[in-house]
Amino acid sequence: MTQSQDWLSSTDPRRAAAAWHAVLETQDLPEAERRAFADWLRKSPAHVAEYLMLTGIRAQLRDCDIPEARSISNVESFPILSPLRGAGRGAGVLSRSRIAFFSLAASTLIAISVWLAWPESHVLYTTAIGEQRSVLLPDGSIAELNTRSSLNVKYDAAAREVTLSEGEALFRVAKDSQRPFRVRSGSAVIQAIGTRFNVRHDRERTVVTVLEGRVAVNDAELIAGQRVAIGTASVARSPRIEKANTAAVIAWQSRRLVFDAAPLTEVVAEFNRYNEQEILIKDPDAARRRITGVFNANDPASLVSFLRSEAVAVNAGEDGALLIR
Amino acid sequence: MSRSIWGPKPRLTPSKAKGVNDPNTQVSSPAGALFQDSYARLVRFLTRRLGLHAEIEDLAQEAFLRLLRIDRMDLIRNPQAYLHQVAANVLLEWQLRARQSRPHSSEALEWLEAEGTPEHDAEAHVAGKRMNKALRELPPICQSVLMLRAREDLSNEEIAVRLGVTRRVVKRHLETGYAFLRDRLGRER
Repeated sequence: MTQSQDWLSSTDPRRAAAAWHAVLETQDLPEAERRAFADWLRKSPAHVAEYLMLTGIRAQLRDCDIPEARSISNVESFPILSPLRGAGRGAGVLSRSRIAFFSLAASTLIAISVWLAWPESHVLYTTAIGEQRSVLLPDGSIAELNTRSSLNVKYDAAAREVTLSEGEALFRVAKDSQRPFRVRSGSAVIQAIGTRFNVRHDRERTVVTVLEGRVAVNDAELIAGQRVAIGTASVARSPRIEKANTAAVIAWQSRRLVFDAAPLTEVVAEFNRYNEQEILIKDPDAARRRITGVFNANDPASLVSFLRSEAVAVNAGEDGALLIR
Repeated sequence: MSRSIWGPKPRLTPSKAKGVNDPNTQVSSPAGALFQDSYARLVRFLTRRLGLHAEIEDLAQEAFLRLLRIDRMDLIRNPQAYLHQVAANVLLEWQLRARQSRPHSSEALEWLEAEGTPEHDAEAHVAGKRMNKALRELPPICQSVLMLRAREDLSNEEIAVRLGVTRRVVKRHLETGYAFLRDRLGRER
């Protein structure tokens, strides 16, 4: 990442070709640069070959898709822009004003506290009820935070460590075999090299679901499509690895709640994660009902009308809460 | 050797690079339509032979020589489109020559670009898989920048706004991304 503005004038034809391609594909160049590009091309057949190769790569890229890479929007940058690894002391010194800028920029995502002690860095990210947010980590990894979550990020030269103390996050991890990516959550320690996985932390347990690649959770190893639940209180010797419904696990990104014969208590708890307006179950019989369906997480009314259609009474309580009787 | 054997002199193309890159762009003139065809053929050639340096180097060598013959390269409004057109012309001439000299040889048949045949589909499938695998080795933010550029045709500025990063970050990821993919896919097979 120490690269510069000057790949264009790099003596490595591959770098120069990549830089020219990045510039030329979207812009009309000013005359001076057009001339510089023409001169570069006419300097060596190798330059022409490199440029043509990129034309092919670009065409192939157009036919390729990584949907989760396109769906991402508005990542909150980690407040350190310099690479942590291999950077000289002082290279990443952050001015106070820049810290202030980033804290301000993190408008809805509240960076509660920022401690900076180079080369180690430490930031806490939280989301409010109903809020979702993406965080861009210094190595290019991305953490997407679900509602009411809290993620502590700590990177140094030897390790990439994050702690999910509350809520849920989906991680897309950049490959770096030298520096493992570790997530701590409850009594689970999750380690990945380069992969994609979801971690959900509840009061009693942490559930890890692997969407891509391989992930180690405590002593178990999971592959894509598998999940494991680690109890918070008692750490079982060998937690059970199960097959996961990955589509349902990541439905939260589009704010959908997916239930397959789930008890109403669970359904209500899910809605309460996303909404200030609380739903309470007053009728023990109703609590045992099983619900199957897909709901909008931000729309408790959709659950209410569903329940009413099933002849379950729901009315508003005094403080605005919804009571299921 | 007179210039005429190299075919028609490439037309100076003042259109935007983006338009020329897009095969769906409407072109009104017959010359433009012809170019769209040969451009598409060039792109197919390049994508199918990414790992075959010798063939791409031959093409580049010939295109390079033709670029050297241009007296006033500085008058060309869009050198990128111009290069593509020169390369497409070279390719077209090779194909015509191959067909004339050995109309029934397997080499000539190969030039006929067997689009849509099972063999071609399988090849494209394998190439797509290699690209996908290489892409996934990049940091997620870099994957996002490349996808937003290649699939959604966003400008650097638009990508920067969408991702909430600076334009410099976008530019850097495009450059490293392209260089990485070239190293992964463009090496000798």
